Amino acid sequence: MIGSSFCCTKKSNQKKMKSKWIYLLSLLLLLASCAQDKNEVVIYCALDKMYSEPILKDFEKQSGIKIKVVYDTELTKTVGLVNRILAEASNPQCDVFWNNEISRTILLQEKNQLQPYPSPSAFDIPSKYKDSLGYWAGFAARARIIIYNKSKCNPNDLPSSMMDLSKEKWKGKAAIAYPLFGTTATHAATLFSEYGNDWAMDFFEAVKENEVGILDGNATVRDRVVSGDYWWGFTDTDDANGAIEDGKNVGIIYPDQKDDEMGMLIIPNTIALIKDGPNQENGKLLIDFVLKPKTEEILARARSAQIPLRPMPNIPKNVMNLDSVKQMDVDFYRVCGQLNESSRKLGKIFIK
Amino acid sequence: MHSQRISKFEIAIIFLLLLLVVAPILAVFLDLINPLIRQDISKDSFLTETRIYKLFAKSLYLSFAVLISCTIIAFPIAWLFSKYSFPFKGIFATLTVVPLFIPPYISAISWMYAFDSQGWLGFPDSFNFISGFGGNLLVFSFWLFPLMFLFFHNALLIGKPYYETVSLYRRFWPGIRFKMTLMVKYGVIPGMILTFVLVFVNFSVPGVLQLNVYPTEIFAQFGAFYDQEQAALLSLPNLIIAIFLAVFISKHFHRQSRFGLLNHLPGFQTVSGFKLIAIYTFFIAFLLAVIGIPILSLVLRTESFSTFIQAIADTYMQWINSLLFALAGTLVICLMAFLLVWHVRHKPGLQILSMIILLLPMFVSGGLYAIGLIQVWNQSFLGGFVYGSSLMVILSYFRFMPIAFFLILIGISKLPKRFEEIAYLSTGNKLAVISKIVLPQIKNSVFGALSITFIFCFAELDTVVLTYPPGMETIPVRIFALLHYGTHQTVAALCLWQVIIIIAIVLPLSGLINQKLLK
Repeated sequence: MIGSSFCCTKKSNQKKMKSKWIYLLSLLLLLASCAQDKNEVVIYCALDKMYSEPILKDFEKQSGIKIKVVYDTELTKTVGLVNRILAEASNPQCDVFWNNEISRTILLQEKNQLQPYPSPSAFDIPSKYKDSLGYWAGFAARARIIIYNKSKCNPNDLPSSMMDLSKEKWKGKAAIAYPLFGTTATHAATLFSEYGNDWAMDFFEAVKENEVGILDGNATVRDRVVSGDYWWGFTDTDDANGAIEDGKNVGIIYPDQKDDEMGMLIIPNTIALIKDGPNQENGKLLIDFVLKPKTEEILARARSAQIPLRPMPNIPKNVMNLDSVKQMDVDFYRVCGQLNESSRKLGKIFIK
Repeated sequence: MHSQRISKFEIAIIFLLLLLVVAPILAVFLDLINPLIRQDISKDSFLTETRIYKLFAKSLYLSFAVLISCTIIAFPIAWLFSKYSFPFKGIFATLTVVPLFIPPYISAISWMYAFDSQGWLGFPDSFNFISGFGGNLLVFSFWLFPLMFLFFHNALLIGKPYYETVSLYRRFWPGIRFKMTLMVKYGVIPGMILTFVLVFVNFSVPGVLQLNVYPTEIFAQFGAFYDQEQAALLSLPNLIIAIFLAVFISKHFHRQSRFGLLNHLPGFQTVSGFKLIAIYTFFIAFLLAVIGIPILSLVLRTESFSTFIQAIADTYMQWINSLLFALAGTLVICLMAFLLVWHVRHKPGLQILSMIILLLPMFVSGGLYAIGLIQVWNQSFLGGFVYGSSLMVILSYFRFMPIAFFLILIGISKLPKRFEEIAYLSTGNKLAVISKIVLPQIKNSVFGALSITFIFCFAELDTVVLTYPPGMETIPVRIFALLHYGTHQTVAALCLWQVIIIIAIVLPLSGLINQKLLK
């Protein structure tokens, strides 16, 4: 009697256990419910959601293709997406990479992660800002500019050049972001590629000697200049425009505009098709859509005030006109080739 | 009740853990073997650079400094709660744990908001300590002292019957030594190890507060050079520390398992008069500093109520994603942790292996662990079942399993084994023993493990930024994106929401714990 009741209890417990495992498996299946939907496109997007989402939603609405987006964060400085693409190389999950700068796109090209697609929408983009074989195309740029605090800097004696970072009169008053990451890394690599390793190393040693603030990112440079902790610093146009739109007491200087100076670095957004991505045809349609002039117009009118690479009628006042400024003459492939070495050298100066 | 032979179920658990937790690390580090054999790891490897050693030493220094300061803060508070009874004790105990609910990067941002030159507590530049070692020490200490407090408090309560005996000793030093030994035995060491590792591998706080540490270099290798081999190579010392600590702690628990105490809570001395005023003054001042300053900073930066509301309206999907991921992750992790604790308790031979399995992912940088997860699970034959699904996020949370494991282990280690044996003899059912005998006895530990694991999962960024499925962004990812593109008001509002939501979910739980524990 006791034995049979024990046996029944055991059986019912086993049944209970089985049903619990079934529940657990169902839960796992539910969690894994992101099933592959064929009429979709996966985009890894380094441009922030607030600017890119309306454009991507527009595409979704017009094409009927579902978009799945992975965004990056300021903390990971485009690193998240590029590392993710590299880690996924054996089984790519991404179709399109929308980068908010150029050097990491070329890095992916060099690591054989991109597939050429000369989009018809890119025909009028200046050749300097697109790959001749169609591996990537640029649009809607940012510029590296000086942001300065109007209450700290004398309006008759403003900084005007990258070289001012190493000048004694600005000791402890200027700031840049870590030159190992993001657009500042590209900017630094440009100096290495254009002026040679020795000159660039001497310059950055002098920058360090001059107690230039090496901050966490371009947004931090903007914030510390706004707060008056630093009088001026190098940042990107989108960061500076945000501060001006918020009514902060800061101004923008286009650096190195004299005849004997290097000019200003312009860094475009870039878009590229990922090699062997799961939805290539949809990816191509998305690239065609993003590269239309309308995207540049939307991004120019946004808070980030991105600079159109093509002529744009009625350009907003706060958006730079590329025809009216001296641009740095840069070979982006050479800069990208230099990026790793320059970053390693700069790491030894700045990460101690 | 338990034979010393390892059962199929136990093998299955260990295999599952090896697959889920260790395989990603192996995937990353196995990539190192070929280059090491060929000796073609970059010439700039860490072996040749003194600055790398300096960074390593700086990280160790910061971790130990935080450990000491957390001990200095946590021990007197834990002692106070374990010895005295006073009105509103439960409320004060709950509030003491609240700083742990504020994710460290949010805390760092809020202290920056308070102390920068335009902040509401703005100091002149020459006195501003927040950017640098001092700021890091402060933020980490205020974040982690509640964790130490929980472990100290637990140890003091459990060892209390012994202390009462020891107080009969006339001589001072033997008494103190005995107390310290007992405290160590009853779980202070896991608290110290967790505190140490949470500082040692953290990159976000030093990033915000301008301090170069060892994780900065690992991140630079990974982030600036896309050199996973160098990043893995730099993480090797972390793994060695993890293995050393795992062996150390498993020996510690092996010794401890000889003890078995019931949840014996002796009486508290009632406080009144001047002592009570002193205690209230201390708590109000202290809690204002550790909770008031960061929260007030965020409130002041948010500026308007409409921004506060708009911030959550714009990000409701990310909140839902984060909550679902964190809740599912917490349940899975705590369940796994409990199963592991249960088997470690009865098979001490499994301890060292389990500890190593658990501690390794915590010591590896989040980014590197994520790369390992991608390498293991992004397989075409699996389709989108694991990689590209929510399961990847939950796998990313496995880094936090030691927290749940230690809290449950400490809870269960004070339960005499004979209780289980008697119960098993009368029911013959392990499940009934666990649900009717063991869980009710250790529910405080289980609640604690659930709460604290949830906090860590909810705020996780380093790994999740690389593993979240397309279209299912989490709130920490959003906050960090907005740090660059958004306004300070929005960032502050979202940080404030994150704190409120964590508190709203966890506080009732910890209130319950305190009610049970401190009455």
